[in-house]
Amino acid sequence: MPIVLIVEKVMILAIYGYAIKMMVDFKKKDPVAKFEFDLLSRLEIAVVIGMALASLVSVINPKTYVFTAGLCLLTLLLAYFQSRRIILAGNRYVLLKGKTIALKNIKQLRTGMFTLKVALKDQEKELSIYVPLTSNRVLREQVEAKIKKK
Amino acid sequence: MAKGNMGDFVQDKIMPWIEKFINLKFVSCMQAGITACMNATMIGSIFMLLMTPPFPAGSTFGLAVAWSEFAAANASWLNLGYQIGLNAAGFYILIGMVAAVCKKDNLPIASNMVLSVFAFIVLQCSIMEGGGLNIGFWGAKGMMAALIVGFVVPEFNAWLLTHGFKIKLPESVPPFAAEPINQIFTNMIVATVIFAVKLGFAAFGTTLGDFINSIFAPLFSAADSLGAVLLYCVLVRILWFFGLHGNNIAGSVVNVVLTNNLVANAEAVMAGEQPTFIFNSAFQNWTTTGILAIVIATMIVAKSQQLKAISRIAIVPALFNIGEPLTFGLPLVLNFDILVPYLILFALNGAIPYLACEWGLMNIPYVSIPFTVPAIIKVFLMSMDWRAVVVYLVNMVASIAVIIPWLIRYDRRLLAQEKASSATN
Repeated sequence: MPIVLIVEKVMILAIYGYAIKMMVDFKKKDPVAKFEFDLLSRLEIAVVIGMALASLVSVINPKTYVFTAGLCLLTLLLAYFQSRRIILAGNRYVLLKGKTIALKNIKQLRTGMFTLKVALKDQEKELSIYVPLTSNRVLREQVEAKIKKK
Repeated sequence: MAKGNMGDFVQDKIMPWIEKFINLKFVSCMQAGITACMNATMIGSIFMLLMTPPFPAGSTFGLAVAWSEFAAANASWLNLGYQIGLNAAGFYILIGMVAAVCKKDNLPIASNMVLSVFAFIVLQCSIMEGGGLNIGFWGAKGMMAALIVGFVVPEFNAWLLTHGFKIKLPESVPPFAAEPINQIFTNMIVATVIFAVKLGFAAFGTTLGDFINSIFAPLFSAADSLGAVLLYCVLVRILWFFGLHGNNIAGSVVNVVLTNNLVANAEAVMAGEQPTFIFNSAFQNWTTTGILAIVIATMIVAKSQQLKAISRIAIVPALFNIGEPLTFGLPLVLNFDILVPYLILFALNGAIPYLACEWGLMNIPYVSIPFTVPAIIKVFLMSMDWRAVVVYLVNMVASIAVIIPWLIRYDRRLLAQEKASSATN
């Protein structure tokens, strides 16, 4: 059981490391990219960071194995799905679902029920991001406006 | 007064005053200051939630036992997270306030931040017997002082610099060398004034934080009343009625009080006491629950195409407390047919949970939960009390009962219009 907890804690760190590396790599590719999020997105990120911190610092104690394991697992899942929902936009690229996509490759942006749908030129299937973590202002100015200009 | 004239009256006579107030430098920076502490208070809330299981002591329910043991085993870490997160809200507000003032006035942030933090610590902290710093005023008690210090210190510093409080250096000294020296000079003046203020309050046996809180205490207790809740609910809805974001506009005035009340509640719970402030920023979430009630009522009564369509579009956002599709789709904006029950409904949304708290029918909210969590889950998490869910359901039934007769009348009118329109086509 302790090994399960240790693995979960390491995986939480790995998820956040992956998310940070993803954003840093994106920033290197497009230095103009803004790391900006709306208030609701920031609050949601803060909640999961709070859970992650609590999971990481919690002691490995036989009496609390199950609860701690459950907390760590929940945090892991939330952190993973958050990392897939982050959208960042620069001048030439957009970060969507962990992938860096060139702006010129985006055909259309549209919104569904709590979903942002992105149509790409080089693939038929749309990319759907459920409840994206982003800044609506940056999306409008950096992405939508540029797509409409073309 | 004709319907069109009422809208023009609000737009021409009242809105300019509201906009002037919101655009006051202190008020607009205050909003940024309050927002700055939200992330930290969210993280602190998570630690506090984990530290205080929402079950009665001695409960043998499996989750309750596991949670209690987790809280006991991790008490020191969880308490640290709570202290740094939620219980230092005043400190984060100070940082947000200074950043907002410096951005607005184009002042150097780093030096003003250091000076303001120095001022805050000097004014708000004391040395305890045996060493150690008493940081009791970093939380709810220090929020008002943080706003004032965060505004006054950068402004005073900038005033000194622009009014010639400089050391006259020889012409040969380049500007980049003269600038830091002048900063040090004005910083010394500001520090002297800060110590003078500290000593001045100490001479009267008080501190800046205590003094400010004594001035605002009547405001806080007046704000925590049924009258204040009803006034807030009605005012927010009147603003929405005229197409304005009522929550943001009213929030710019009350959020500092409500956030202070929430943090004070959290501190009370952590000290093993009962929270006392009913109207706080978590309670605010109760005042928006009527949106879902209106959507459900619309789904029940709708026979016209317009109301059927709106109810289908608005239901999912309403489940997550987003009311814009309903507000502008029904519409609620400038719809005099529904104005009266609309105001009554949202006044009930404030009154029912307030009275439930006052009469001990449910716990007072003390946990900050993100706005978009579905209301039925959120009301439980805010007060960690299953009875809040019962109050919520009662609230929903009452709200639906209030709005249904008016919706039926409105729906009949729309149906008649649709029939007339299809007959002419």
